[in-house]
Amino acid sequence: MSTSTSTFSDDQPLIVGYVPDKSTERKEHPLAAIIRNASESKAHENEHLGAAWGAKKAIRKLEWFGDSEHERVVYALWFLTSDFIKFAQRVKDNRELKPTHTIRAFATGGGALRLQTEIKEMLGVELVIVEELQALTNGWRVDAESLADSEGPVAYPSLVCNVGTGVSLVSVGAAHGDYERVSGSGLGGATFWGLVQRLTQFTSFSEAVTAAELSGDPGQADTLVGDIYGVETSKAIGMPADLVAGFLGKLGEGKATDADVVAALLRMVTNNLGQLAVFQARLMGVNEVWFTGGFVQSASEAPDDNVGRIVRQAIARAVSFWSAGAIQTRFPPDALLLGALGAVATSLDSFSQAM
Amino acid sequence: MMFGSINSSGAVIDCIAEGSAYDIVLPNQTERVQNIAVDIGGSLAKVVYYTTAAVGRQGGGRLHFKAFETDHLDLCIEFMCGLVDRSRIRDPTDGPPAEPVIMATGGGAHRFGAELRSRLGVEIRVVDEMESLTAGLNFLMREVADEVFTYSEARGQKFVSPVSEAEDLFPYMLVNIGSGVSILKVTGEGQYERISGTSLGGGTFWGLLHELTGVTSFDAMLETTKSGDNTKVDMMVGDIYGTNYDKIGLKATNIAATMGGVYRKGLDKQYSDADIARSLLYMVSNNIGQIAYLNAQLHGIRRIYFGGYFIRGHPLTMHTLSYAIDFWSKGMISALFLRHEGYLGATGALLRGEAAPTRRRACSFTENFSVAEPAAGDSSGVSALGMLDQQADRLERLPQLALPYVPDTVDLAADEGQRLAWLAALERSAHELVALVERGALDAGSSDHVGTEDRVDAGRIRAFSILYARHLQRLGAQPLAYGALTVRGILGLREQCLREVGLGDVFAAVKRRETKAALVALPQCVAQTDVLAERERLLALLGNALAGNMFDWGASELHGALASGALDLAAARERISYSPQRLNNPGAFADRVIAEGYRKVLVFVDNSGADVVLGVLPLARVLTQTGATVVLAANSRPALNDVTEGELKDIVAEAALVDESLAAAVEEERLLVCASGSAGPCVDLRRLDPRLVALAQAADLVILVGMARAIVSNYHARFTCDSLRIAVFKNKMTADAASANVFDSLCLYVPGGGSRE
Repeated sequence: MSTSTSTFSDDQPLIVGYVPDKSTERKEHPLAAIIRNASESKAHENEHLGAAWGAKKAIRKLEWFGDSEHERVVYALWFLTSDFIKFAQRVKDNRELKPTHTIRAFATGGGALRLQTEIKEMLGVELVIVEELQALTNGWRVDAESLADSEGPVAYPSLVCNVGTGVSLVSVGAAHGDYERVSGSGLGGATFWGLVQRLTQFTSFSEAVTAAELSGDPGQADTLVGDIYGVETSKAIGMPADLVAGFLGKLGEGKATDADVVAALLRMVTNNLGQLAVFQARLMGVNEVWFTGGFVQSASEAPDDNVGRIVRQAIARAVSFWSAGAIQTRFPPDALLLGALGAVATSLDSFSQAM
Repeated sequence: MMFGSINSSGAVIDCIAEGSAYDIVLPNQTERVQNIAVDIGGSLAKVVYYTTAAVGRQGGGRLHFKAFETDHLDLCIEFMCGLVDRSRIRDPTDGPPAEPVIMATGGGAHRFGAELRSRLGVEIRVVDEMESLTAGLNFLMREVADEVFTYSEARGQKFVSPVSEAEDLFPYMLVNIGSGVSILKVTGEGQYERISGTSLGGGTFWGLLHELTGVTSFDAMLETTKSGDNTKVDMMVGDIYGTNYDKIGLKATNIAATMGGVYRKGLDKQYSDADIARSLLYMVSNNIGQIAYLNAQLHGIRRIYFGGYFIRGHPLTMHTLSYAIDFWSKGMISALFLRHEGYLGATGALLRGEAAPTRRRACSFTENFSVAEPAAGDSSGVSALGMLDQQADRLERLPQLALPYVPDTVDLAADEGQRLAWLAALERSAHELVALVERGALDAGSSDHVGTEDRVDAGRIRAFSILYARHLQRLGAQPLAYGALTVRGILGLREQCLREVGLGDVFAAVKRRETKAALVALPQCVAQTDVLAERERLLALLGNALAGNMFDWGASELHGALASGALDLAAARERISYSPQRLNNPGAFADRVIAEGYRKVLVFVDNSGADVVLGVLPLARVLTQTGATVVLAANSRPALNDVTEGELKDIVAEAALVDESLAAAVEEERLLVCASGSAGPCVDLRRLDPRLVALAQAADLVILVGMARAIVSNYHARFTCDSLRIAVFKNKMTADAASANVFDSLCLYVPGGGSRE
């Protein structure tokens, strides 16, 4: 049996996750082959396209969702949502994937509803829409529980802070379907990227973030305590001169380089995330926050990417700052895949619940 | 600024009327400066200073507010030089003034401290910024009637009743939004803690917007936001889902990501600088609102005040902050804003000084709008601040007042018909006042001994008329410019304007003349009712009290008759129609007096002349005969032809000379006169002279006399003891408000604890 699921959102790639059945598990799945071919042929294609196409294999337990197997191999493929037509064309052209009957697929993400008709028409696949936060929290549960053996059991309720286009803070309880969006913010990944695009010459996320890490000095763009009081007075009144008084407050002075600006924007967005997450964690009485979403693990990169590491470190710093070290920052191993993983899990869950 | 002309750039208003110019010096604007404080922020420098009359105006001092751009600090320093000079004015009754000390706070206090010291040549004492902010806020919340308000686009500005009790005041949270944001938790006087903050504040908005749009002034940026459409640059929930995301309560029109739409080719958003400006304003305000709410949750606080330069009265900013607090608290908490928000720091710094006016003795303040400044950095230009006049006493609430209490009967800001009618009527009455003065109708009659002080100066009255007319015009255009708009407020403002141009009591001579005539008629008046049986006597006395209330120079309808002397008590009785029934139950009152009597009666009196002498005094006399102690509460300061405390003491003394019963009551201290604490025709029963409140402790009956005290204000007031209202509806507005007719009467007895209707 094969369940294919998809997650769509606008700034994250469309991700197809699936659990192959026993007979096909050992050889390369035709869908994976399409992705591999696309990324290998990137020299001939639009480079941007190739770079954003990828695949990953992981071993996960889905027992909690009613899966009969102890462990499963889960595959994930990704490509930009805007490349959907190209991807669909290749699937259509692939003889091995010619469906003999209507396939139902569990889908989630903002774009799922929008592309529902197109997918039905082009691929004959009928989408079962999984509510986005349900997919996210189910995916998080699968991923977080996979760490239980090595890092101890997952505590419930947990606070999951999903940073994609915007930000959702979700409280996840122990029971099936027990989750609540307790807070959120419009100041998220898309704000960072939108501002980077408007304020600098960078055209790629990884290029911008890497440059910020290498040579960016956020203090050139931020108004610091020292800028207001002077370094000497700051000392006299007991405030560090390099403490930020106003994020990006010096932008108008024109001294900041592009790398400085990105570094300042990253500090602003992650700092704010950390603050919201810490306050919410305190209100819930938990001592750790899980961060997920495309901003935490940049989609165009390999899951162990450098850019993701920079962002994750910035978030961890902010959480540590606002909680004075009392609240831990945690990242699930496959933050990128959670939506698709969760849709897969939901399909199993809904099947087992129906029984 | 539309109404900039009202602001006092100096101590003179130029009045050009009928081709001739008058320079009227506002005498109170040249008083000795006692205390000076300055709060130098990144954008504005705010000065608060305290003055007292060079020759001791009793207990009276005044707080003034003035703001300058920090970029033009020279102007500010020059202004302060002037203040320092005025602080050295010598008071002949006093020793040489103490060397001035300037209290300074704000970031600039450190940065410009040395410059201030050298240029002003005085000691500069720096006060911690947070300490100043909270001290200022505590003071202003207590002392300014319409300091705190809520705001939303749909409901507009709504003023919140001031709180006086500490348990109602604390704890609260102050979110001060400047370059960055500080969040303070205040648990008591001088007890505060910075619990959180964020560096994502005004500086971020400024920096980003400047870089993205090239706009260079903060006001221009805020102006830009008005026409912007953030949905053109933001990623909306609807852009992602095509619809609402009901499951988690997000509407399609909610912002999913600020600036998240600018790079989305698929969305193909076309946008302008204004759209970016609005988007960033939303981002910063929403985020601050959210962080503030989370802090309030963590600390169990329900009152969140927002202040700081970022807000500056900008409606959209306040709306967004309100929206965020309302959204996150699910409607349980409202964001609170402050009219003096720009002056919290400077006010607090002034109060922290050792010679601060509030340190010497208990006192109260009243906002005086006769000379109004635009609120510091108020970008919308709709809000103005008056001066704060200090009273020597701490005004207190009437103990018999049932809560909640709203002194005013009509909210003129909400009721356009009443507003237009009152503003027109009050403007007309100001013109009539000028005409009366010019005819000499307010001067003492020729038979009197006339001192020059009895002649009302025609130049000053014209200056008053111009000043007052400007205020009325402004209030017509911007009803909430001075806080909540009420008849009580405007009548108070009228007296403030008169005093400000040096006309302390324009009706002084008229009052004397009428009182003298009424005292002559008193014995006969008393004799007429004394012959009646008890119940008929009480009814007749109530009728006389109503008739006496017709002798009111505040009622334009009666000017002609009053000025000609044609109105006598009998004629006045004829003009009143003793209806409607629902507002008149004198019989019930008479029965109550006969059945039980009262121990102590508190009477808020109205006009001088026939009203108090032939209306109120005989009634008070009979009540004292039944064993009651009667306390007559008269205005502390003149207003219209209302009798003042001092005048009433003389009247009672003179009446006692011709009436034995009154003489006995005075002798036995069962007929007392006390100042009400009021300086206008209406009465705010939360702000009474403490001596009156002390006398009122055991009162079991409160009588409110006259239209201003019983109809325009306190019509809806409820008391824990019995009450009696005696007044005549003398104009269409008050009659309309009560569904009555002009010259209908209000003689309504309400047993204690009950509601009026």
